[in-house]
Amino acid sequence: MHRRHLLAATLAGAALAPRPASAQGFTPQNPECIAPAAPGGGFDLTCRTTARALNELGIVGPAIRTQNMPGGIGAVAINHINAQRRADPNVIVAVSTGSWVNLAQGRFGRWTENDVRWLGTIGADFGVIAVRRDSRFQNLADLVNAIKQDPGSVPMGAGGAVGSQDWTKAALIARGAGVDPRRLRYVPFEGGGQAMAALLGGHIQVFPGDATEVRGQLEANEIRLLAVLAPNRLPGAFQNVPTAREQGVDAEWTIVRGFYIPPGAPDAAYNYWVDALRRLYAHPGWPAIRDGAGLFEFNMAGREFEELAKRRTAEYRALAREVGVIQQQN
Amino acid sequence: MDSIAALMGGFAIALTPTNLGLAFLGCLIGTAIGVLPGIGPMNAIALLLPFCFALKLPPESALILLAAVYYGSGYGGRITAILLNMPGEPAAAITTLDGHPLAKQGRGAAALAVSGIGSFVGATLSVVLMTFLSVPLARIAVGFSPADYVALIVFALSLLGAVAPGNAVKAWAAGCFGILLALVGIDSGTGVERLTFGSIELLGGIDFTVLAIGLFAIGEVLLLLETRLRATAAALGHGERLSLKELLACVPAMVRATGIGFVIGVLPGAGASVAAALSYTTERRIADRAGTFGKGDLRGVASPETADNAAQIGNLVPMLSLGIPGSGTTAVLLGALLMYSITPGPLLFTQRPEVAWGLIASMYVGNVMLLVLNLPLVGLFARLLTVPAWVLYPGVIALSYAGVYAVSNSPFDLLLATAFGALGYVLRKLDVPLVPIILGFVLGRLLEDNLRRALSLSDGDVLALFASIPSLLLWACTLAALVFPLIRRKV
Amino acid sequence: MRAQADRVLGGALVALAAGVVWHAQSLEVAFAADPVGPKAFPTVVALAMGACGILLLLRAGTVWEKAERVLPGLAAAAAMAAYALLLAPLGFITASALLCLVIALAFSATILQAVVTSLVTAPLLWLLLDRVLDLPLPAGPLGF
Repeated sequence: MHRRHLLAATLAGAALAPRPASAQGFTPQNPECIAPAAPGGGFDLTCRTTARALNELGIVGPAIRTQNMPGGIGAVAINHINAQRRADPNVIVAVSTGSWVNLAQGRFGRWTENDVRWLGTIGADFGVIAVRRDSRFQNLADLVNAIKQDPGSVPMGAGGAVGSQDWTKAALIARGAGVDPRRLRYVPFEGGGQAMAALLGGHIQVFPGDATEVRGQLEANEIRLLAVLAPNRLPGAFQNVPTAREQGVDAEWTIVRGFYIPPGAPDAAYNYWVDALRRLYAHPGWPAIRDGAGLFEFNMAGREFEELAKRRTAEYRALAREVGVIQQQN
Repeated sequence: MDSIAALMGGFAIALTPTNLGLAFLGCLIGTAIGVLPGIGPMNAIALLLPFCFALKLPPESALILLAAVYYGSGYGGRITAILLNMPGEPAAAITTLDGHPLAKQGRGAAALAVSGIGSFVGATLSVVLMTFLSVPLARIAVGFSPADYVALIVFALSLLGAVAPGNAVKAWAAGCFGILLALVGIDSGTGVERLTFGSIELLGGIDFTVLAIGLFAIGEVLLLLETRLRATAAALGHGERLSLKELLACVPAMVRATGIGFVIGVLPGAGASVAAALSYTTERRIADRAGTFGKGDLRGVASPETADNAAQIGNLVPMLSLGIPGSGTTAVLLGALLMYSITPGPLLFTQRPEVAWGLIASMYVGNVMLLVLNLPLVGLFARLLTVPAWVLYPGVIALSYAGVYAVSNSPFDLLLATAFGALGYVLRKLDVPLVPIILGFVLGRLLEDNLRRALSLSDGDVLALFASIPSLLLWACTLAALVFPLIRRKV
Repeated sequence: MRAQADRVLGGALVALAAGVVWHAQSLEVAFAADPVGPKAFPTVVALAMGACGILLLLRAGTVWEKAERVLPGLAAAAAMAAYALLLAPLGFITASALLCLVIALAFSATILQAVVTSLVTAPLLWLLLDRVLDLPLPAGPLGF
């Protein structure tokens, strides 16, 4: 799927020569990237990586500075944008699938997916289902069967709360097995690292994690991956791991990392930033930087990304309603 | 032995002029970051990463620099904690208990010296342990189950009364209050919002830095302001310097603290603050025969500072040998490796020995640097107190607030810090100890999370909490800690 | 009244504990994800805190020492709260200078001393955070 986008992006940004982007005469003044995390958090990495790449590869002239605004996986940032910078053309805000999950559950205050302009992605990570190397589960079918027989017999855990994006991966597998996700024995940990420790320690049997955070243990043969929750197989160390869909379970979990801009930003600014992202996709220096940020290729900008954002939030809202983790008033 | 040969290879890397210089730079930055209350090592490392790329540093050099910032920060937090009663980093909150009374008696320089030496001892002994036992230790650490964590945290909490023995009721109330503060935010077990009062800013919980700055720094300033300022620095400089005899008296405390700190640090689910707290309270129970702890006992400074640095090094063990980040800071260090296309994880030692062993060797060097850097400066730091209050305190407050704002851009956090400041002032006036609030805050969340994890895994069976050898040992310690003082009182 | 300080504290603790217990009971859980749930722990801790509060209510307590000076502390606290709200509109350097000015005056500086302190401290902090650490701070209407 993302191969096609790369092709489209290459055609769109035909000129590979690094000249600063400029759509309809718009050039940003003191551009900023808002990272809804403290320095060192995931969003911080998204912002700093993108800012560095856009500046160093000559796509955006003025230096982009990263501003940190932690709180509620983006809730504080969307509030700030809508309250104080509704029309600011010089700011982009990092967003992820985790933000969409919270947005769908009504945790972004009164703001919805229609209160920003969705810009595009810089890449994605994908969900994986990890077990210890000596696990009784050889493939996804073993796990699904065990869950079908007795969901309580398979303790699983990941780095997020019930209702979070980490939990949703487990919920999708349960649904694929035709089991109510509420019956899973899901144990939340403080971050993926601690969940991995619990998996290696044998306290949980299944860790629905992200591809990047399990790569080291996979390469060292400490763990086995039952499935990647991606549309296609992933490259490199993951190439021998089948997708869930290959194994007959309709579960896909793409952790998108991208950006939005304020709802009242003019079209010229929107086009400028979309164009900048497309140039980034096409630049030969980008893949190495993206890999360094632990992201797989996933290029999508402009209208297509907006549609994805709205479709995903609608899906997550439906899932949250079905499972009952949604806030009552929404 | 393999480890020794590999370590020698590591020293060949760590001792090149560039890497020595980078380690030194990292130690300087780390110490400064430790002093700055708003910005922690995790933030600093993330901010330094682009700088590493701009200088085109090779991965081992970058890691040597970044790691030096990390363990260097453990040396910085004590300075303001001892001199001004304002901890610069979480673990240093414990250091205020004995450090600040010492400074008030004019022995700030001695306290700084002991804490510097303790930090060095803790860090260096831990690096030695790490050199030889990294992999087996990490294997044991991941075996530590949620039920074991419950027993560990209950043990730490059972010593809470030791923080303020004369005032147990208030200490317990403060501890409970700290626990409740930690519960603010989204409940990880169910996704329900607790004690947020509908505030978006509180969804992610209360930031430790905001709480500590408010209770300690702001509260302290407000208390100072209500008295007619009799020269705050009256006693300074007249106190005796640290004698060899005093230092030797601290050695057993340092050795115990290293053990406690390192073991807790290796566990992926605990941290340096837990280590410092547990070490201090244990030491107080064991060694406070004359009742001098809390009134300015050098051992009460040596213990938490040693444990803090030992735990920081211990925290690197699961990261380096299993690729498991036990804390936010180690997660950022792992991310830095990833940026250099190095897969962090169990294969690091075999595939990229220059990175793993270069880092370990550089930690021996870096800690010597930090000691050499810190000891001569002790007198200079202590002179901080001769700076007029009207220069010192505006600077400290502005630095704290600006630091918080720079990483959060949140006016809400500053208001919250001010509110905690007012609370800190009132609680001091009421003679309520503040450190139990910090301990409750750090331990409370850990306790609830692990208790619920353990009972979820056992399907509600409470006996699972007593099912392993580590947990039984820890429960026995808890029992001893609760009973022992009662027996001693009768004797 | 002055010797009653601990009673006031005890009362406040009991009230706070009651509030937390009430809040915990009002939490609605969609489904029982774990056997303990989100209510039990805060309830138990709050009850323990309330018990401590009752113990404090029952005994004579600490004497609340009257402040020798009230105004400086109030001014400093007000300046800190104002700083939070004025940082973005005024800009970092101006707001920080004002904060330093008030606190310096509260610590009995002369006007000249306070002005010098604030004019040195605020730009230094800006240099450190904005320039050295690259953490953007708000610029005011005058561009700094």
